[in-house]
Amino acid sequence: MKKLLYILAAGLILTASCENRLDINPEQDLATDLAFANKDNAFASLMGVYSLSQQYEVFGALPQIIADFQADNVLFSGTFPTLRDIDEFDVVADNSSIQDLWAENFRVIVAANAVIKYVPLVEDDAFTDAERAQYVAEAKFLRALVNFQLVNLFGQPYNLDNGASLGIPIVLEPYEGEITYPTRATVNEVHQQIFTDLQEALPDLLTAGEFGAAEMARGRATQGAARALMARLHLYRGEYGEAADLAGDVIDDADYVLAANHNFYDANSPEDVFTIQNSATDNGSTSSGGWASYYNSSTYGGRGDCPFSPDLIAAFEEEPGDARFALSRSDGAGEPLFTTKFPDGTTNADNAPIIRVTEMYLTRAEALAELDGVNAESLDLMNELRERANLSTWDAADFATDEAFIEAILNERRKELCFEGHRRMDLLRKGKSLRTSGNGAGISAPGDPYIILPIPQRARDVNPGLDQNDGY
Amino acid sequence: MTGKVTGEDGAPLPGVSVLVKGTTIGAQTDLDGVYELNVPSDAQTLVFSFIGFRSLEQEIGNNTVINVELSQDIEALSEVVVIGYGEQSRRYQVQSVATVDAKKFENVPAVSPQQLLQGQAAGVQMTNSSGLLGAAANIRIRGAASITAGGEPLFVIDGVPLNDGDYTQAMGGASGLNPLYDINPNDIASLTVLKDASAVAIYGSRGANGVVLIETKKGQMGKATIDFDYYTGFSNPVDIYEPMNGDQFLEVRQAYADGDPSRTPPTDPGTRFNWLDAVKRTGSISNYSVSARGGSEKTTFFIGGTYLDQSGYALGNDLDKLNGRVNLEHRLNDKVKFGANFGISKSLNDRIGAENNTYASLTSAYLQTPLTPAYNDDGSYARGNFIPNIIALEEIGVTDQVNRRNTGNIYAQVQLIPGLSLKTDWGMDGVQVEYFNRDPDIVSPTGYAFKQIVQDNKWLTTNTLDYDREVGDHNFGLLLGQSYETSQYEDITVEGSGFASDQLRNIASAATPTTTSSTRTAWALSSWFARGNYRYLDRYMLEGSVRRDGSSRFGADNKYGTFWAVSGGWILSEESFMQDNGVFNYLKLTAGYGTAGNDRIGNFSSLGLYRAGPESDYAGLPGLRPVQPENPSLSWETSRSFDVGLDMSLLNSRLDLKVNYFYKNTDGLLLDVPIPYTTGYRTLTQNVGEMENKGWEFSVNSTNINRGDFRWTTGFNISFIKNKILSLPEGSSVDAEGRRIVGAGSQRAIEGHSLNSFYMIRYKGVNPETGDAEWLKKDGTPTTSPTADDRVIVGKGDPDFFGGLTNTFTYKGFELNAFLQFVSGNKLLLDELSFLEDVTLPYNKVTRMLNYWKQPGDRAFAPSMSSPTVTSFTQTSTLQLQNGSYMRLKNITLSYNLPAELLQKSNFISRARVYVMGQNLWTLQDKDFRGADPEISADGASNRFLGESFFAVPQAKTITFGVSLGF
Repeated sequence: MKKLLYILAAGLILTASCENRLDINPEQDLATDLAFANKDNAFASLMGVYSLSQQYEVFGALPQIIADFQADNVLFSGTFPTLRDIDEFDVVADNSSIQDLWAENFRVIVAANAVIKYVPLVEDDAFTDAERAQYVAEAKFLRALVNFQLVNLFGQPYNLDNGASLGIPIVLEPYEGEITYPTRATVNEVHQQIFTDLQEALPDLLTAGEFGAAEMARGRATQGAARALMARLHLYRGEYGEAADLAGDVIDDADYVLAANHNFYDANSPEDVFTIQNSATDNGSTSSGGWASYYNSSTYGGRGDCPFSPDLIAAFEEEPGDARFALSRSDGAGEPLFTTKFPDGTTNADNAPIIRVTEMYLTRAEALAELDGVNAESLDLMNELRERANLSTWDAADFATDEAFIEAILNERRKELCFEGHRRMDLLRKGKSLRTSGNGAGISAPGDPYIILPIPQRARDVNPGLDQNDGY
Repeated sequence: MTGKVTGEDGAPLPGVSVLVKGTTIGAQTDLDGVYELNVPSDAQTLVFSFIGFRSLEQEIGNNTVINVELSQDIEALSEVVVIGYGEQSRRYQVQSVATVDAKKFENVPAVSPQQLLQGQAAGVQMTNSSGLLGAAANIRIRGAASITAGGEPLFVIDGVPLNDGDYTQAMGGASGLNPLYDINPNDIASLTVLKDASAVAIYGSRGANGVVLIETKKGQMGKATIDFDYYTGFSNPVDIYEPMNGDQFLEVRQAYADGDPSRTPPTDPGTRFNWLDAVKRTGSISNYSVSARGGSEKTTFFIGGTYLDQSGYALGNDLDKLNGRVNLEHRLNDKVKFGANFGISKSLNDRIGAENNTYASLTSAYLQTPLTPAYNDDGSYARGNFIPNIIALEEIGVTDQVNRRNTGNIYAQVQLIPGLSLKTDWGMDGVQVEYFNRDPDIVSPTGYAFKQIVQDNKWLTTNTLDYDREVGDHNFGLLLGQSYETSQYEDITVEGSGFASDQLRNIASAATPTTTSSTRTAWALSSWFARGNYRYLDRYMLEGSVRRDGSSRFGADNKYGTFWAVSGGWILSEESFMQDNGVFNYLKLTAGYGTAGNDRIGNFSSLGLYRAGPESDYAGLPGLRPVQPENPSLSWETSRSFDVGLDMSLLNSRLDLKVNYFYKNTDGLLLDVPIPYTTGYRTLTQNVGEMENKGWEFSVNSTNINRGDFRWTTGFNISFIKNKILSLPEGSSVDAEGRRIVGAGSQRAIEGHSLNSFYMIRYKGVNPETGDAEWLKKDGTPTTSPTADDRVIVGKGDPDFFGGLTNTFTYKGFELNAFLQFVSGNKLLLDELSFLEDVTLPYNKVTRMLNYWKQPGDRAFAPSMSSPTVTSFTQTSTLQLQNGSYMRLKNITLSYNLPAELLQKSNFISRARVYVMGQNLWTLQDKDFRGADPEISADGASNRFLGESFFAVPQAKTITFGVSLGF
């Protein structure tokens, strides 16, 4: 009987120790609390947010080509039916490209929310307050940037009704186990959130000069990038005074210098204010492609979806000898013309240009022209760009009216920034139609339903509180 | 007291249990059949019992020497059935269990243990995924019990649950190989399938899919017997597609070009090559097996080894398998015994690509045009284009998989007090799969190499306390147990390209290493279980079992689960009102209800996870990105089932009949429920769905004729099972009719219908007047341009009924055994038909396509070449959906046992048997079936997809000749 008791006791002890062995941790992944366990992990989580924004659906070209397919710089020549529908202004709510775009952009926003919320709580003595504030500020910049991209695509332009139409849901919390069903905020509310994020971030961000390597200075959020993004938003809202001031701050910043010629693409040079860094082994391209895939012909490793439109070619040919027109190539006479801004069709290693200082020149020139008409500073700024493009300089006498001057600035903006994701909003914010001929003619003015994208059907199936845009 | 126990032939019977009735005083007979026992003076009766013999009670009276003769019990009721953590006599069993013993699959050239179950047990449906050597198997025990979590039953060998994860490359197929083909069928003494809740509840969170218990052969007291078996044979595919030859191909492509001026006509390069003949060969199989078993009163052993050498009928598919086993048990004294079982296996599988892979032998042979040569004029291999030169690939490329497996357990059992014993068992299962692929330059320019080593090592401990007691007419049994089990999985993968020469085999020589990776993961399970049995008057039985499992896989809020079952039985034939009824020799009614779980979810599905690696990097710095939302309440799927059965024996025990009805409801099904994208994720895995399976099982065993030297017995089983999805979560996708669904393809789970429903456009036929192909719109009217809105439910992948019929005829030394297996009511989706029946593609097609419409009045298979429907003819529709019902002669064996008198002359051979066996020789299938084999399901063990194939290779029909000798 005693033997029995001893054996049973031994058995119990054995099994008691086994219970603890159920705590097994994954080895290829980290549980959420470990992702912010110390400063190094928190930094990696911040890098993860940048990494997510490299994706095809975020800054890896999908939103930019969708914008180009709606506007007039590109002649759609591809095979993807989801993109063809966009070119033909015949989009349905269950378009899978738009669904992926929505899902992946919100993924970046929520990842940024996690950094903003958890970094201040990290327990690590080596993690200074200034560093914490900087990481939070960088995440806020990215959140603002992505919100800006989304509201431009899913909400009507601000100038239509001062931003009263519906924009996107504003999501400020990471996922912590509770599923929420946010509704859409207005365009203006989204803009205000973007301003709040950028203004809060600005003092805590580093300047480009404070970052050492060029990939960091140009590839991460900096004070210059925050100001430049605010300038852009003010410009889109017609707030020309603020736009001019902020753009001026960036132009005056010693870290940002207009490049001498147009070889600066993918170079992380002082021309760049913020570009998403890509490399041969780390870029956002998928089997659907990346920047180079769409903007190059198949001879150069691309898919050939985005050649110059006849309208854009005509715009360049009005003034022959434009150095910016030389940034193009075709497979032969009579073949479509493609840009050389993203030449790497083989490994898709080109950086994605988001903000460069040239845009600030154009912004300030336009904003001052809107405020003061034909003015000397605008002319000086524009002439720096004209000279770089090997074109004749302007002078005040060339422009009979202020409107003509502004039109000329907008035309230069088109020729400088073509294929970099600006054209669509540049037309809409000035009250112009996206297309005047072909698909979309007559139905692509600000306020027309099909100039913006539908809220994805799957998103509305799961969250019926998301109101659909008109016409879908 | 003393005495001798003999059998009917006078031979001594060792190991017979001799018990003083009403006490625990007993002994066993020795090698000479002699026993010695000290009995109390008031002892009245001795009970003699031994497996396979009728128990005998003998009054002691005044005798001190009692000799008895035991007669063989041909009733199967004395059979001892292995159940979870124990044994039961079939007579008193209340669980629903099916046994398949070794005699049923002796010498069958099967590679994996799942194949031994096909058609042998009611309620068990097994489908081979394809004819590849070592192919995966789809087993459903009483219907599929899950949608997304794994569907395989738990396989247990001698108490060790086997590791059966995803270790092999799919190589283009929809699933990898069978993770259990290392197991040696020759080692198996019996397979027991645990079906109902009362049988599986003791396996707790792993019982919902059913459990298959494998007992290996053990030693036995007596002179050692040595068995040697050898068989050899050849194989061919049961059927195969017929691709066109060069002239036919040109004719059809020319006719296609003639149909529309924009099409370019084919050009004849003048070369011809018959690819199918080149990749098809006569397969061969040879198997050598030798084993020895025997023992003394104290020690018993079984030692065996088997070598299998098989070449498949498809070029390049070979399997070499070597297995060894040692099982030992030693009885230290009356109270203590210990033992060890150990099996080791090494196999080399020369694999071929599967299915959706132009590197797969048969796939590429069907698609490659007959105009493309395999060799250049100088005899060297011709380089392929989109489809590589498959001859070159198989002859000079390497696709080898080496499996090594070690499975075993050691145990000790101590009798603490009479009736109470303690057993401790320590087991392990270690599997290593090593796969190496080297493509030569002619197949992959500059050469390519890939190597992966996967290891999964498990160890476990099981400790049980077992108490049995008989008090008057009451019989009690109590089992208490504890178990801890854990397994660690690791893999290493390297890949490279750019080799200076095909002679450089290894990745160290690659100019461009493209992948270097290694991962590791583990899981653990900690459990308590108990089972109680009560029997009164040997005719009223009650049983209850319970198990509490804690698993590392379950979410933090739900780490422990409790599963239980209760069942009862009543042997009506023992009742006084049933005595001398003249019909039933044995009639038992059983009923049971209980719960079981399915823990085949990911190891970390409940955690919120951030992932590192190249995808999370930015600007050269390592990053972490969120990839999985947390769900702390994630846990197992639960099956609740109810079973009622009638077990009877009639006509002097010549007819055994078992009828069962079951209802199984599974809820908490794991599904990826869509959540708002604004959470940062697309789906959250939750336990939300509900599904039911219900049906009837019948099995019959009869001795039809037993007269003189001639005997005819039949075994028959048939099961009718209906599966229905009861509910899917809100937010699931819905189809056009508003029903919730899982899956977006042709085969999908539809709420209110089967888990494997087919939802497709209906194809009507080629209109004889117009030559256009026609489909049906949703309302049933014909159309030449159907859309996705015209899809309706057109059938299902799971059958209405299935089963097997075995007939055995013996006359003197001859035996003829025929086993038919059948399945009915299921559909198959053969996606290869969309390629093989498409004239618009530049690939080869089947000769059936010569039957295209040429003039009004033609009843043709294919539309007119100038019809606009010729390009949409092979769009996904019921054109590719086939009737999967079949009946197949799975095995027919003719054998002859040499008579004992003849063998006695040799002085050392005690048993000799020669046999010829045929597998899959004859199949009865739908006359309009256009595939190669109605038994196909390329998705292996998947629950979601059953009966789909994309160029999966058919089963082989095999003829083997063999000889078995016993020494």
